[in-house]
Amino acid sequence: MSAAAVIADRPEDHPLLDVDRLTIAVRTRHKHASVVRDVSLSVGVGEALGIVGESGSGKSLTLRALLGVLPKGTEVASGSISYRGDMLVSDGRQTDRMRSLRGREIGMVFQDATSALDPVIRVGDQINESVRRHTALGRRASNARTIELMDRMGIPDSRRRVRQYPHEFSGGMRQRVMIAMAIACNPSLLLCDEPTTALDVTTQTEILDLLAELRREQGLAVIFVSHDLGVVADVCERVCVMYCGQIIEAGPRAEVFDAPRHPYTLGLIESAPDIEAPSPALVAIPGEAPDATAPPAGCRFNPRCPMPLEECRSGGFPLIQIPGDRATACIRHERTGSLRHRSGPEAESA
Amino acid sequence: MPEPILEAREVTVDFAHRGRNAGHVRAVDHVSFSVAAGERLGIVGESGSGKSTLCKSIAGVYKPSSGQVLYQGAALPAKRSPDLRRAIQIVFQDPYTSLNPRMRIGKVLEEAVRAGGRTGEEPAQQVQELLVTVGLPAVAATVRPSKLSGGQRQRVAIARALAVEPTIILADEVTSALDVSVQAVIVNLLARLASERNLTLVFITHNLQVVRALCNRICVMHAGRIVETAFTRTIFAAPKHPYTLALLAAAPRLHPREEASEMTARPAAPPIAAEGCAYRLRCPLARAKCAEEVPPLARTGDEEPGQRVACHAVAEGWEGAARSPANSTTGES
Repeated sequence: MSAAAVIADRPEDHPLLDVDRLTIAVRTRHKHASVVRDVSLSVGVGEALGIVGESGSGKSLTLRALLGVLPKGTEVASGSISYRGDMLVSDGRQTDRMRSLRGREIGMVFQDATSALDPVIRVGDQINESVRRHTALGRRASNARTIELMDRMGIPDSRRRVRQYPHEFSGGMRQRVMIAMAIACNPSLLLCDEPTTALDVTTQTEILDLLAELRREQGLAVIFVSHDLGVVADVCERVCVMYCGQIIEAGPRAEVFDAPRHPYTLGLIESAPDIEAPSPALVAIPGEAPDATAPPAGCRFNPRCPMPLEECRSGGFPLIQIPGDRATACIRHERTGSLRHRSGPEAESA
Repeated sequence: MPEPILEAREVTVDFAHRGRNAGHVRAVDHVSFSVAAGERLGIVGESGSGKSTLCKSIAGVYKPSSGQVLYQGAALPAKRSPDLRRAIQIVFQDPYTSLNPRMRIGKVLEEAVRAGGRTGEEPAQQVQELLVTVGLPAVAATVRPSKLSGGQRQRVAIARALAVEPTIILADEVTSALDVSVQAVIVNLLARLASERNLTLVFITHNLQVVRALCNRICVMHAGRIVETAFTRTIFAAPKHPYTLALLAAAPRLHPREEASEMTARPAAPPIAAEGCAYRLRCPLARAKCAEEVPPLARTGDEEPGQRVACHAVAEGWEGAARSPANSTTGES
């Protein structure tokens, strides 16, 4: 935490959510290793932050830790999380503030709405449950609020559909139900874990538009986790790129995607097919992503990096601040631009 | 156009369902297309469009309810000979379920090599060659699928298809379960193999960007029908069908555009209409005629060579319908 944050004590002086050197560990009988290491990030009121990374990068674990819902076998090992200056996790230990904020101040939308909804409970009752858990509304008022939420989510014919079961809803409509549950108590922060990955592209657009509308109208802050650069670009003003359990680049979205300052970010951009790129050829990153619990020594990207130095093979690589409100973990970040080869010949790698 | 190696003629696939509302669901509805040897055809559509069913009926997994699939000009019989089965190979979407978890990779490939009926070389030798071809290390032969990443498993699945020396590879959403950087590797691998071995590729996907990188021709499917087909560059430079335009507009972009496209599908409308044009409920151009008649897939006069569109608005030049490349939303040099 910075010196300024220690002096300030009014909630409005703090960022909405501040994460400081969060480390998440896997603990099983056979191993004890960190999967997410020293992740720091902060989100202001109404801001949208994207966390981009591939499977195994630790992006979803980071998001779950923010809400204290880590899967079995993983736990916060060190670091702190504060919400409007209130400590939710302090030095690796969860405080009792977390439970009271979860659901009320911080909502969450998961990737797979099908398994996140109870198949044998009517959709309306599931939304109603989150309304009643966190507010003092009576039955009649909370029923009305449920209908209102469904209308607001663009679920047509809400009076009839409130009595239907999840299987009677399409994938996109189920995701709308999830969002309705997450924002039932007007939270200030919405955590989204790949909410559109399982959806068709045209449905995805609808859900992203809905999120944009909620942000505009309610000043909702969003942390949006996805492996899809294009989707993150659509939602977020700022992005963090995660690789092998660490943030390796952060900054304003347009700048990071335009002129990445880490070879991994560049690799991701060039391997992602962009519909407006002048050349359709995809450029693959050589090698395979390492296991975050057994990372390579030195810079974790160095075995796959096109421009490694001897000093990249040992030591730690924390984020360094660079001009333009940006940060990178690459010590040769100034040379990243020279690695571009989007329009070059097909590069297929083993 | 050269002699097609693979042709679908009015292929229709119905699935019967029992119970209270017994009847059938038409998954693929009179689909016709042809592929020339060495071509790479992309079949694009969203879930429920029938693209995978079409793929499986070409592979012989499903029998078409009506219509024919022709290979080298001859209709494929209901019971295919071993040679025909070898000629058309399929690679599935999910590399986690398409490999037997208890079989070592070497065994998986050896079985395929033996099925290929090739003599001469030792099977083990051929397995090693296949691993090299798809870019896997030799030790991969000794492990079980659980030791491999998704991308590596998909390489094994491709190697298994190659083992019997096919002429056509049907790739059914082979990159959908993979990370973007791994997807790039697999797409580039398929492209290299197809050109090295003069393979014909039918690539089924929901991702327009991926077909752009891989295929020379595209069929766009919606609700069991092909609604537009054209060469890849035409689909991106001068798309015509409102559904193709909506798909293109919905593709996520690294640098999002400020203004929304007018051709975006109507939100929250039922995706498929029961009669007439199936897309009309979501189509911003729909008129009364769209509810009465299913538009045929036809040339429309001013289109690019090879382009066919199934849309009344395009055929009759209604206001708002895409006409010439100048009106297109996505440019390509």
